Parts: sequence; structure tokens; C-alpha cells
Amino acid sequence: MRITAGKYSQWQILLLLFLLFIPALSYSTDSLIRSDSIDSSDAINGSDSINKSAEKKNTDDIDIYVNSSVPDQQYSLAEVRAIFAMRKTIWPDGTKIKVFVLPDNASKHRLFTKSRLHMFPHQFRRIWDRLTFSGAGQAPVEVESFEEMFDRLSNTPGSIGYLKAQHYHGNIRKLNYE
Amino acid sequence: MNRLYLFLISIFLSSYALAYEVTENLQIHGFFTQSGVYTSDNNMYGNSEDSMTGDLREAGLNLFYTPLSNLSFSFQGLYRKAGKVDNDSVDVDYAFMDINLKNYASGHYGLRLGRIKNPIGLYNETRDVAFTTPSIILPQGIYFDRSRSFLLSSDGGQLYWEHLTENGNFNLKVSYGVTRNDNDELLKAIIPYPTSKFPLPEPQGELEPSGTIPSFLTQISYEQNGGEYIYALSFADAELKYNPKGNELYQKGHTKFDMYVLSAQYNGEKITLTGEYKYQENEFKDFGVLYPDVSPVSESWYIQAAYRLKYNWQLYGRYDESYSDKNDRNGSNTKRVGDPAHMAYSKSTMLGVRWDINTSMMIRAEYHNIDGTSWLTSADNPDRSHTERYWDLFALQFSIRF
Repeated sequence: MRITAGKYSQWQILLLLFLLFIPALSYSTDSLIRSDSIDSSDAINGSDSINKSAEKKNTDDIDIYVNSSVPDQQYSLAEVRAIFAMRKTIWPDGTKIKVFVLPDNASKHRLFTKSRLHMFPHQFRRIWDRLTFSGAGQAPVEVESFEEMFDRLSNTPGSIGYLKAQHYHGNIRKLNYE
Repeated sequence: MNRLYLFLISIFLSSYALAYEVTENLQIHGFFTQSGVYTSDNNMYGNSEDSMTGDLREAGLNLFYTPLSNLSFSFQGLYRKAGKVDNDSVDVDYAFMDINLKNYASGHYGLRLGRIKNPIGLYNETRDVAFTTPSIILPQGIYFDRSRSFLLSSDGGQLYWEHLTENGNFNLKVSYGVTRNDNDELLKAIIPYPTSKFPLPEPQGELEPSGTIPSFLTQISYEQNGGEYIYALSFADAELKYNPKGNELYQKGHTKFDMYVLSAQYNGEKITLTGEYKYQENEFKDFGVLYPDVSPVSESWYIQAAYRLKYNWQLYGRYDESYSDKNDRNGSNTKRVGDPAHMAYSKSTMLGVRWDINTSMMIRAEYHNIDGTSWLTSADNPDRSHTERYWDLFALQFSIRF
């Protein structure tokens, strides 16, 4: 069967509908993705299901921290996302940004990207891999634990990462962003 | 032996860390990919007909060096074996200097100089890196392996600009340079080779980038909500000239391509949907009496869906179509010169599964059901009259990176 609409085949029409459909999807899914809460039971889809309850409890307990050398001003969410995406590489004072993250498969990393940046780890991985293997940039440095993250953040000028939200004694501070 | 060393080195380095940081300012990354291909008929990436071929293999090693906050140097060496087209070639994949000219709160722009990957569609810049591609065999209508070397990269300059807004990022890349053409597969795709009906002499000369008219590529993309929705429009304009050798009957002809690719992608938590459409105007001129001037328009598109069962398990499927000449979709012109009609198109359905064993190792398997033979290379299928219209392809892939 062939739908004859001028010179276009049925597949071309289907493709067109598909492309039109993609933006329409945004309205239905935005609320789910932008939402800060991760109450939805399938929000965390990790391998370690044991951690699920722990993650839920800690949702609001992860925050973004920077080395004290980082210019103290308010940053936008778009800027912070671009920093973790490795697309923004220089602080307003011209110094190099150094990004630390936990590995992709760490539940705390998934929790952080979703609750703080409203993005999924696979979206970051896609961006980092494209930068790394096209020569346009690099991936963040991976650390194994929050302890290591704290050490690296304290000792690396211009660095940014995330930690359990609490008061730390040392050369770091919470990033001010909106 | 080469492949064994590559494999061992990759395993060794990947055991260290995902990013191998030599010094604060220097990072090294690499990958190794081995694929196996089996086809019911026809040869794809080696002698795959009725047997598994391992002749599809890629390895890369790259350096990223940032001596200053606004200056970086990038280099990647690429090894590739792909059937009889790429025979253990080792090549500079990219090598450029990146000068960040201006940084402002919501964006930056800069200039790259050297050998730069061509931004075409969603995947061309990293098409040889398995971790970044959506399937083992890329949608051939757009990421055509027959003309891969030609569309891969350019030697010249690229201006880039990225602008952040609250809702999404705008990204613009404009490249100007000389394209590469490292093998004669493209020549075979352009000049109709001798067929049983027309036993013409084979062209003896070579295709060369037209030095006087460099190619121009541009891509504008918009990524909404951190890449949840991606839209891109790519344009590439390139010219090649044919240099005849000796007293052959083919004249000093030239070919010109104008390619437009429209891309859209949705990246949800569990579902990724991708659609791309290519429209390409081709011009073949002044090759002489044996090859009258023609200017066909080729067209191709696909839709792909991927579903993440778990964060490291993915099921994916695709339907794609491509036509060498959109005004001759069933290939009657191809048949007239003595080649099979099914050489002019391909329509295929694919199903696959991907398992990321950990962040540095990945396995994929996929099945393709194909109607048409336009994907096939002449190097692997020298006699087109022996190709089959309907065929199946099964592919397996293992990839490792650091």
C-alpha cells in the first residue's frame, strides 16, 4: 500500500511525523525530569538496588562544592551544567576549571546529576565521549569516593565537585548557584 | 600480531583508570574495537558471506594537552582494518590547535587549526569510536562507509561558538579546508566501472581534493535541557577532481557534492529516539564521452529507538532507507548500464542489544535484514553481478577504552 501525497512516500511522511513528534514529547516529560524529587520508584535504575532506599533519604544531601580559590559569585544552572559537561572550562577570573566526579555507575553520581543538574549520567557520558574522541575537550577526572573528592577539592585550585551537604573544615566552600 | 599488541596495550591501560592523566595538563585516552560480521550473502568488511569475518577492527590513541587555560592541542592516531577497503591503515585522525578566543558568562568562541573532524550529523566526528556510536554498523545512507575517508576530516580551520541559555545551548561550527581521500573506493563509487553490458576500460587516474576550491562545512545545533532534545542541521560542500593517467578515455572531470543533514534526538532516562535525514546533490562533469554529465540527488533517512532496560543494558532498533538517485528509486538506470538494479538503494531493519560490562568495556550484537546492495564496497564485492538483493547481516562487537 502506498499513500500518495504528491511525490512523497509513506515512509517520508512517517519520518516527518516522527520529527514533529519529538518536540511534542518535551511537554509531557519535562515535569518528570525537571522535578527535584526522585520519589518515582523507577527514578534510580541502578545495579545496586540495596542502595535505593539510602539514595532516597540522601536526595537533598548532595551539593556542589568548589575550592576556595574559585571566584565567589552566583552562577546560573546553565553555567553549572556546562561546567560539569566540560563545555565551560574557564572561571570568570580566567583560571582553568578542574572537574571531579564519581564513576558513572556510582549511585551517588546518578543521584547528583539527576537531583542537582536535572540530567542523566548517560547524557553526560555522551557529551564527554564526544569531546574526548573528537579532540574538542576532555572528560572530568574520576575519583573513587567522597573522601577522595574532599581531598582533591581541598588541594586543587579552581576545582569543582560534589559532596554530602554539610559543613566542612578546609579549603572548600559550597557553590552559590541558581 | 599488530592486533594482539593493540589489544594487550588497551587492556593494560584501561586497568589503570578511565582517564590516564600523565601530568596535570596532559591526558591520554584510547580505545580498541574488534567486530565480527556474518552475512547470508554478499561481502561486508571482508569475506563475510556465509562465514564470520573478523576484518573490522579499530584502535585509537589520543592526547589532549592544555598548556594554557585558553589553548589546547589535540592529536589522535587511528588504526583501522575494514575488509579490503582499509588494510591495517595507521593514520592521523585529527591533529589541531584550539585557541579559545573569548569566554563570557554564557558562552565562548574560538578557532581550531589543523586536521579537524567534519561535523556531519550526530555521529560523524566520532564515527570510529564504538562507545559513541548507536550501533555496530552505522546507518549507511548517512554515515556511508564507502565514502568514509572523504567525509572524515578536513585539513584547515574551524570557527566554533557555543552559547548557553537557560533552556538550552546553541552550538555553531564552521569549517573550511581540504577534505581527504585515502583510497579508491570513492572512485569506484563515482565512475561506473566496467559491467558485463558495457565492458569499458577501468579508470586509471586518481581523485584528488580540488586544491583551489576547499570544502566548506557547517553545523548548527541546539541542545535543550542538557541534551535531552538535540536538533542539528549540517551542511557540507566538497569538490574532487579526477586526474587521468596516460592516454585513457576518461577526461579531467570533477565531482561536486552538496550535503544537507537534518538530525533530531530525544534522550530520556530510558528511551532514546533518533531521526536523521540526508539530502545530497551530486554533480559529475567533464569526464568525457564514456561518462556523460549527470547530477543525481541522493537521499537517505533513518529512525532509531533505544530502550535502556537497566543503566548498562540497552535494546535498540532501526529502520533506514537510502537511494543513490531519488529519481530512480528502483535502480532502472543502474540496470540499464549492466549493474544490478538493487545497487541503487538499500532498505534495512535492524535489532540490537548493548551491554556495558563496566565503564570501559562494552559488548554489542545486532541483526540486520537488508533489501538492496548500495552499502557494499567494490573492494569486497568486485563482481556486482554476484551480489544478492535480499540479505541478512549479523554482527558482534567488543570494545574497550581508557
